Order: sequence, then C-alpha cells, then structure tokens
Amino acid sequence: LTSKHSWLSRLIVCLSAVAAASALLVACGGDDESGGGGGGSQEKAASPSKCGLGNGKAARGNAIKVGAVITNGAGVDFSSATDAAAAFFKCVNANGGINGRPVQYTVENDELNPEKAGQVASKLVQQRKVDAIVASTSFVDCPVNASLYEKNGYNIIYGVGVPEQCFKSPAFTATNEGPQLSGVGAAQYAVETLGAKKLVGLAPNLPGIGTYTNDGIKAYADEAGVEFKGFINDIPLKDPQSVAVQAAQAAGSDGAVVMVMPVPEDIAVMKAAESSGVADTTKWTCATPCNDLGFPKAVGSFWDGKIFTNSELALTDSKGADNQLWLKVMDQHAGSKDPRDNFSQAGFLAAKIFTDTVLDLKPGELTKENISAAIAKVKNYKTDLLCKPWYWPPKGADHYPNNADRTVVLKGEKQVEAEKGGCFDVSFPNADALRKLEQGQGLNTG
Amino acid sequence: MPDIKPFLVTGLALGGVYALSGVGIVVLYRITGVLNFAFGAIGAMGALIAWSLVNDAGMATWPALLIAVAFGGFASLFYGVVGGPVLGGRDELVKATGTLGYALVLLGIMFWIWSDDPRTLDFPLTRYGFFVGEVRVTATQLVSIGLAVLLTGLTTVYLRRARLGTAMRALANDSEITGMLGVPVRRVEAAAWLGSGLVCGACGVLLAVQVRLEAAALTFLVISSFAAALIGRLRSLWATLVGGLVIGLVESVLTPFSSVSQYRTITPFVVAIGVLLWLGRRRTVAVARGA
Repeated sequence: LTSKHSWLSRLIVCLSAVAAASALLVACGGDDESGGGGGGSQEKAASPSKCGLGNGKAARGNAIKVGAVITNGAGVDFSSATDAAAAFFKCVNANGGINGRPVQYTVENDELNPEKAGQVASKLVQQRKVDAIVASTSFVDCPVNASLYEKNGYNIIYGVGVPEQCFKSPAFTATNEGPQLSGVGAAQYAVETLGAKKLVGLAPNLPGIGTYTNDGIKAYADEAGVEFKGFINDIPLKDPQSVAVQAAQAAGSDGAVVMVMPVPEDIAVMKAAESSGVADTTKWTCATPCNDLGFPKAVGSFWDGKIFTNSELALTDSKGADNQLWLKVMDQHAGSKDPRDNFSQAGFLAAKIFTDTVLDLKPGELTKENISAAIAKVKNYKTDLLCKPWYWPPKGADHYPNNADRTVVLKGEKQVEAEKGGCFDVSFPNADALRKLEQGQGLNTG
Repeated sequence: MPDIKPFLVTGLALGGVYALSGVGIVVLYRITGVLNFAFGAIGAMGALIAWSLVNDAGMATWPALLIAVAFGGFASLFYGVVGGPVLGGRDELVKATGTLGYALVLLGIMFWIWSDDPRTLDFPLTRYGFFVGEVRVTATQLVSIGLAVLLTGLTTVYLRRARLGTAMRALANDSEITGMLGVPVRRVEAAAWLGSGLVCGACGVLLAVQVRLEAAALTFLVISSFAAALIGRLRSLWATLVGGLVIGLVESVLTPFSSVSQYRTITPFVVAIGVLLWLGRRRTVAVARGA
C-alpha cells in the first residue's frame, strides 16, 4: 500500500455495506554480468537495453494480439509477471511498437481453477485468435492447455513456469528455471558450500510439482553421495510447527532443509521453526519463492545469515542494463503497488525477448506462424537478468535454457548475494546430456 | 518406531487452537442456531487489521491486538444485528449459508486490501517459553490451551448462573416461547453474536501467530474446528474442548509416520465421523434395549 492509511479507508467503506448485503442476499434467495541488453532472434551482438525500437514515437498501425494466462486467486497471485510484461508492452507501444504496430496485450486469469484455465485458453486461442502468448504464469495452465497450444502451433515464452509440464511440453519455454532446478540449486549450495551431509526436501502436494521437485533433489543427493529424505505436504499448511520439527529432526545438525514451497508456506515453517527452538539445530535453504521483497520483513532479523535462497534471476537491485530498464519501465508504466520481484523480472524478460525477436519480422509478416517460427530460432539471447544467455531449445531437448543460478542470503532486511556466491551450473537430472547438446549446438554460451 | 514426543507438544498446541475455535462456534450455535462459517474470516480480518496498525500506523502491539479482538466482536455483532432479524425465521441451512456469504465477502475485501503479500504477526508472548525435550513450548501455545479451557469453564458457569446466560439457554431451547415470556430475544442474540465475535477475534490472532497471517488460510483453517464442534454434537462445550485437543494430537502425532503422514490433514473429519458413528451406535443400542 502506498498510503499508510489507505487500507483503513477502504475497510470502513466496505464494512458499511458488506454484512447487510450478504444477509439480504440469502434472505431473498547481484552478481551482474556486464552489459546485457538487447539480443533478439537468432544470435546477435548485445545492443543497448531499450523498449523495442526505442524511437519515442507512438505506434499507430494494426495491433498485434498477444495474450497470457495467469493465476490470481485462492491466495495465489502471480500477476506480477504479466503486470511487468504489460508495462513493457506499453513502453514498446510508446516507442514505435513492433515496426509500427502496437501490441494489444490481453491477460486472462485462471483463478487456480483447471476448468477456468481451459476456458480462458480457448478464449485466447479460438475466439480471440491471438498472434502470440507471452509471459503466462500459472499453476494450472501448462498441464491443462499444453496440447491446445501445441495443436495450434504456439511457441510460448513463458513467464514463470511451475508444474513439470511447463518444462516438458514443446509449446513452452520459460525464462525461469522452475521448482526442480531451483530446489536442486538450493540443495547444491547446502552441500557444496554449507557442507551439508543430509538433505531434507519440503515440497507442496500439488500435481506436477511435489514429486517433480523432490525427485530432482534426490537425484542430485544420490550423485553427491549424501542422504535425502523428501516430504510432501498439503498446502496451506495447517500445522507448520510439526512440519518444521519433522524437517529439522530429519536433517540434523550436519544436514540442511531445502524448502521448495510457495513463500507463505516457507515463512510459516520458518516462523514455526524459530518459535519451537529447532531453527538453529540444522541449516535452512529455500528455492526462489523466498526471494520475495516482503520475505525479509516477514521472517525477521532472527534469520539474518541463516536462510540461503536460490535466485533464478538477477538480484532485484542489480545494476545490469536490463535490470535497470525493468525498474525504469515499472516506474513509468506499471502501478506503484505492482511488486518489483523475481516474478516481475521474469515476465518483463519474456516480453522483452518476444519483442526483440519479432522486431526482425516486417509489419506484414507478423502472423502467428511467423512469430512462432521466429521464436523457435532464438539462440543465445544475452541478458544480465540471467546467468547465461537464453535460447529456444532444439526439438527433443529439455526446455531448461535457464539452468544456472546464484544464491542470496538474508542480511539486515535485505537479500544479498551469498558469500562464495556467483552463478553456478545446476546439477539437475539429465543436466549432462543437455549441456553436451548445448555445447554441440553452441547454445547457452556467450 | 519414530520419536513422537515432540509431536505430542506440537499436537497440543494445534489442538488448543481447534478447541478454542470449536468452543466459540458451539456457543453461538447453541444460542442463535447459526453455524457461523464466517468465524475464520472475521478472525483473519481482525488479525490483518492488527498487522496494519502495528506496521503501517506504528501502534504498539498490545493495543493493536486488543483492537483485533474488538473488531471480531464488532464484525460479528454487525452481521448478527443486520442478518439476525432478516434470517431469524429461516431454517438452519439458510442461516449457515448466510454466514458463508459473509465469509466470502470478507475474504474478497481482505484480498483487495492486503493482497497475499507475506506477513507475520508478532505476539509478545511467543518470546517466552521452555523446552520439553527438543521442542520449545511457547507462552502463546499455553495461552491457546488455557484460553480454551477458561472459555469453556466460564461459558458453562455463565450459562447456568447469570441472568443473561439463563435467557440464552432458554432461547436455545425455544426462541418463540422465550420471546412470549418477555425475554428480549434480539438483545440476547446480539449479546451472543458479540461474545462469539470476541472469541473469533482472539482465535484469529492466535491462529495468525501460530499458523500464518494469510486471509484464505485463516478463513478455511477453522473448518477443522467444526469437526471438534461436531464431536461435541454442537451442544457440549467440554466435549468440543476435548475433541479439539484429541484432533490436534492425532493429526500431529501422525506426522513422523511416513506411510500416513501425507494424509494426516483429513484427521479432523475422520475423527468426527468415527465419533458420530460411535455415538449413533450407542443410541441405536439404547433404543433397541428400550424396545
């Protein structure tokens, strides 16, 4: 909230109408890699970071229809990714658009409901006939709609992918790593830097997430020669204290807990671990969700220097050109209340990769088929928001172009790059095969 | 055999929360005939207001927490006064559905005002505690259990001894006859809504501290407390108290058993169904013997 007291005025206004209405109704019935920026379809030399053409002229041609599906409901709000993408497209439209054509961006909310996810995707694909889908960020879109998108020939640059299908279907390639790689990244830091001999994974009982995540950490633990114990819990957690005690007991003094859950669950477990006295009996790491702006204040100073969080994208205050452009675009074209977090960075990056890619097409060539073909040719898109360049994977390859990350640690109400930090390659299952393929095809380099 | 001692401690804490909420639900139901599904939402909103008063308005913690409790009383009374007369003549299902509507409206307001940003509510008593084995028991957990026992005892005595309590019991038996006898039905019901709302407010704060401060989670967490209320057959406060504690203990103790750990969240409903079947069986036997 921008104003300290705006919540109070909203509350008073609402309460005066609420109870009567409901009763009556019933009665009646970090480590910045230099430069960054630019890129574009195929491999390009880095160019200054800017919104599209950056010519300061408003685009006035026929609009390009771009859509996205997000989850915002039932306590899960992923809208920061599409808020950032929308802000970037506004900036693009104010700077010449896509070779003169403005982007008309439509965001549909699946409300964490698989049926609704199917409906809104059909609306975008079959009724609205969008030319592209960019920066979608949802818990349910990938598993529900993958075949629809594949059948209709979309290549979707996803904002934040979470379920396994976001990384397995040929229709999607995300700018983030996903929970499996982020969890493995946190586990790697625990073993290789913190010296953990045992790993305990805490994952949510959600389709395509819980087992997928813990399987990845287990595969890494087996390879590293350390013990692993995975727990999958229903969320929202009703008994975070039991979960915290169980995890701390299983990890022990020479182990580490790896939390790969939505941030409210992570915070609930950490606060329970603190109050029940088990926080200092083991080490604690977390996947990317803990890299949230509200996280430091929510967990408090007790956790200073004790919680190590994997970061799939650059630190939000990094000085890289793309990160600075993201902050500037958010200030100029997004709401003051829209979060400036990792998910926002991911949505911005998806929109930027899309824009820089389709700028290579002439205005008359901007059809769904040509756009998807152009996206499929993206190789080594350089950006300071990621540790390594991004690419659209070749057929048959895993869809993990973002497969290197870094670690941050809580220090004085802020997340800062951890000691012995910097970017490192994530040892996820099948990493060797993917890196061999990348090497062979000159991907993820530069 | 896993070590269950730490989970006995965490189970009692969780059970204390279930018991406290369950007792608040039963008290209101006995007097007004309304099963209040907005119990969790009212408590959640109170806790979020307390958070904003502390973090945005710079208020000290204790006064903010008292305001949260008072808000619970106000929000509950508000619904009772506005909705009570309108829904008074309707059956219990309609009355309960009305509170569900109120819960959803409050939930919408909470998402609008506070979104789902991560927050925690500091409760000063959490700083105090002692270790039982490896696990620290906090003063907050003791307060939850203590308050549940105290509330049960005080309410039992109040309903038996106090004039208003007697009126409440009469109202619970037959509101029409009670009204004909000159008891101010609306005022007695309003007192019940207020009292129950204050319990909502206190539960909201304690749940927010011990589980999390998040609108949806708190709104629906209290559903488990309905299981405790069912064990008390929506009548007995002491059975509700014991039911809440047993549910919390069973749910928590199942945590270290990996084969069933993942299913422990259904404990409240399994226990409630089991107890209701057992009670039903006893009645069937009694009827059979009488015949």
